[in-house]
Amino acid sequence: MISIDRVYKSFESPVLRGVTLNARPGRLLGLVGPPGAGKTLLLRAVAGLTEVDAGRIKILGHEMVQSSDKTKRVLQSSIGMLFQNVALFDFMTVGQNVAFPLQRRGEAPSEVRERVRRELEEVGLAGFEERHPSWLSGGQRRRVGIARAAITRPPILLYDEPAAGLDPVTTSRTFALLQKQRDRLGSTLIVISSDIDRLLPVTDEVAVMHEGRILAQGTEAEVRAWGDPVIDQFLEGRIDGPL
Amino acid sequence: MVRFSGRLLVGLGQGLVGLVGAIGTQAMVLSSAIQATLRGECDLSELRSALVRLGLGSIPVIVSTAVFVGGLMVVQSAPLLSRFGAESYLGWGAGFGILREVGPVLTGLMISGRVGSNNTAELGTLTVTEQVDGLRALAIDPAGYLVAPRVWAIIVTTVVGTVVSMVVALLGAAAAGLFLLHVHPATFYNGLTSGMLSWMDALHGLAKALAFGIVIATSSTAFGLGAKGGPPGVGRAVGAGVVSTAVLIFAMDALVSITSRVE
Repeated sequence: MISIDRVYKSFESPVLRGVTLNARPGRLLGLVGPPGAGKTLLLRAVAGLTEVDAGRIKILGHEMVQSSDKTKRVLQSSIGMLFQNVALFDFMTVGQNVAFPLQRRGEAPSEVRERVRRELEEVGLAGFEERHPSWLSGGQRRRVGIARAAITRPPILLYDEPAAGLDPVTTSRTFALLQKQRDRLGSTLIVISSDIDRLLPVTDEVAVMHEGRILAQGTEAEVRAWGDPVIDQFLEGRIDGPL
Repeated sequence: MVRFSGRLLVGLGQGLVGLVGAIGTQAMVLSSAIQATLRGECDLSELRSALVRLGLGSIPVIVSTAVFVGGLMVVQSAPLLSRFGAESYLGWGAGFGILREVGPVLTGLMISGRVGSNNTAELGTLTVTEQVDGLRALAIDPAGYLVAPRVWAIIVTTVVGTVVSMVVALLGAAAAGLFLLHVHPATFYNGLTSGMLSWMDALHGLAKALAFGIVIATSSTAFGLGAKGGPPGVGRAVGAGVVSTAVLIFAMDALVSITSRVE
């Protein structure tokens, strides 16, 4: 479904140093790692928003790296993404934000209205259509972002810190919502989160990233048993260690 | 002395590189707007919205400025015209200045200040808050949705605004002539249409307006989309965009004036 093969990207210094990662169809993959590991940049590369220096990224069997703008847009239409800072369009209401991807696809207004209503209900924001994003709390904005990402029922969903700054209960609800999306839509999800204690139990697989490389990928149990001191320290949250 | 000259040369070199880079970026903005339009991807509802927001919203400020500028041209020239008994040339003098120079330059600067800075701030905010990336992630090309509608709306606004400004400034000049020099509007009109002015003078002004419109649209868009570093970065982009656009307006003014000067 998503196949990343030896991807490199440098700015002033190397950020991605040969990342290889696979996300299987209909699975929820947690992408974790210390700050500055390159997780967000990797997600942007998968979404076709950052051009990498070398390597291959295959989305649904099609190459994203160095593809034409047209091919990129076709592949992007199969991806829903939530950005780290949500990136809701602040010149639109909540309803318009969620409806926007459907309207651009030329869906009938009645169908758009109904699906927006259902999607907002799904994320616990029923009746929020006319509100403005600036009136919402951080958690509500993130849930609107999740609804917008999923409104077209894309086969791939990329979530960058969907629970950042949320209280423990709302965080657990958000991750439960992602699990529900995976089951309801059958989508492949890659989720970045710093809250590994709440993320890992809902994942099918985990990939640990450090200094631009994937250190380990597998189930939570497999990754915990990997025997890498960096992974052990990161997952256990210890102060002493190589990090 | 040698060290100072060296620094001066380095500064000039960096300035030149910056200027060439800015012009190159603006050419890319114009090219992407043209390409998106030719592909039929220019978002028409955004274009309509930009024309109303940027264009209609600018008319009051253009009209109020033009009235005063037309009047002030007469106030400044009144003593000279009276001394030589040349009041009948008032229409020609005001028309020549307004159509060829003051109308387009003043409108260009007003639109740069109001519309250009607004465009840079809006696009800068969309850029630093990842909303432009949000569009791209939804498979929407920002060139068709954001760039092309704004570029065309600003160019149309500048050209139409210049026409409005010319007409209103001439009316202001005629009114000032009547009240300050007691020049009858018919005399003013005769001076304007005596044959010393032609449609070429108006076209010269419109050519400048078109050039200024392209400069304002591409410069403000390029600075907005290039904003970095959160809200302070947007502020920096707006400041740099306004200054750069003003310099380019005067450069284009000189270029058009030199290439189509009165023989």
